[in-house]
Amino acid sequence: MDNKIISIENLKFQYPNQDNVILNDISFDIFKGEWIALIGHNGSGKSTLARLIDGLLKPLSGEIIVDNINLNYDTLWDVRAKIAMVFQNPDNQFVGADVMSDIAFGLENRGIPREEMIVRVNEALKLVNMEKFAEHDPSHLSGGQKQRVAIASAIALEPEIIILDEATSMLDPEGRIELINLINKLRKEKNFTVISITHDIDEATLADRVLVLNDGEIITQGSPAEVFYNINEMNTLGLDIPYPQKIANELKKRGYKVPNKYLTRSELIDWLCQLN
Amino acid sequence: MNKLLLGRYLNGNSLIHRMDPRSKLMMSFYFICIIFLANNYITYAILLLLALCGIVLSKIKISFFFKGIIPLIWLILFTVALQVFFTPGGHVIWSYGPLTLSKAGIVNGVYVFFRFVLIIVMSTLLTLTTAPLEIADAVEALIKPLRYLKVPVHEIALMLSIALRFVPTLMDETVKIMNAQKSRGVNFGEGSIISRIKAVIPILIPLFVSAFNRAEDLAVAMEARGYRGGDGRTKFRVMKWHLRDTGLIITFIIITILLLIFRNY
Repeated sequence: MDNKIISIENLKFQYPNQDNVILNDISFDIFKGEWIALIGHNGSGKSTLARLIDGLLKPLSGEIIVDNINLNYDTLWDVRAKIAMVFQNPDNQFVGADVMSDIAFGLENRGIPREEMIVRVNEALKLVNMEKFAEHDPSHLSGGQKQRVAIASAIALEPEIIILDEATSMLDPEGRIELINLINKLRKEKNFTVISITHDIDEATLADRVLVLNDGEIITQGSPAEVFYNINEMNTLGLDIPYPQKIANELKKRGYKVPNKYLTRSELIDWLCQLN
Repeated sequence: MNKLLLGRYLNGNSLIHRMDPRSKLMMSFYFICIIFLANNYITYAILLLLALCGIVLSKIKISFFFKGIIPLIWLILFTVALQVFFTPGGHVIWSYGPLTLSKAGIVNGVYVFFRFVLIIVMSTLLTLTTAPLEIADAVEALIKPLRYLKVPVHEIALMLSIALRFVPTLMDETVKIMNAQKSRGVNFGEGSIISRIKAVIPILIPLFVSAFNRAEDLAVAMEARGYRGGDGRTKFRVMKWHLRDTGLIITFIIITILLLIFRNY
């Protein structure tokens, strides 16, 4: 866990011809195999940060180092080869006319020989459980299925890092959980790093580390337990609090002696069972 | 609306379905050319027989082909009427002012009718048995030589396949926008033509806005997946030329020869 995969130093960004600074002097490291949740309210710069890491936007100043490669115009494609992204809208990232050709799109771009492509596409299909839909076109798939295809497209590229740019935000709660579990399972098998940009606080609690972004600055980071215990701050940032924490807070108001730390759902249940 | 554009492809496993889209596309165009060689009942009978064979081999119900003809029936009848009433010569049966009804005119009208029907049946056969994506691939393969004339063949092909892929998405979007407008009291089915056209504008504007947003998202997603133009790309979908495709071309050559022989009978 101690080798850095992404290292960001003094990153600044603002859109041309606009006054407001989107990212102001951000520095942080991400380690190999970590699951990072990047949270923050709308317009806090989360998506911008993701796009900067993938070289889809050019920073104003600062350095981005991905797997020991310093991101600049010449190394752009080397860096992109290490990163796969899954975006928010399932429809707008489906390039191929059917599931298989969509998964193959990224492989075609990299000039991978056809025989290998077939192997990799089929393997990716199997990993996300979409073999039955191999020849379906996107109009016959549900939102969750389309996102699974997007994940298969990402996996097929064998990336070091997968960035989920609010990939679950257009899915129903069930689809969200399914997708997150799927990615988590794949992460363990394939050993890649996940950066998940999310609005969903419950999703963020599953991460190894949470970064909270507010108005272009990282205001706090740490394990979910550390970050979410700081309730008052979260509310002022326009973010929700995890559900178990909400209950703990309400209980505290009513005079119960809730332990002074963040409780996960099962920890809260255990504690409640031992009460009295 | 969906049915009109794309829903016409019928999944199947017939001989015609399994043919290479390139040979099917080429021969469909070729058919439209050689149809002009037909000039008497024998030659038309040959072509009709060919079309009939195609229909039988495709294992598709004949009613689907009629569905292809129906939208164009007024155009066909109009052209036939022009042929019937304005063909001079032959034995005149009836005349009124510039209109003459002659035997030659009636024969010509029948030929024109069959010409239309044959063209429609053959192109319907192509679209019913070939998936849109296959057609796009075939177009790419066939225009490939234009690369040497600096035509951006890869870009055109990609645009074509993305356009095809987004047709159903945008159709859904249109229905959604229409429902949203309807729920606010817009009536699309009533009023004068002008008010009906006006009612379309509030559909088109949001549709355009969302199409541009989608295009931008798609461009970012494509770039994130390493798209950097056609150079150095490999292809996942390949087309295979089989014996049956060579057979199709030989059939068409034989038909052409037959037409050339019998047109002078």
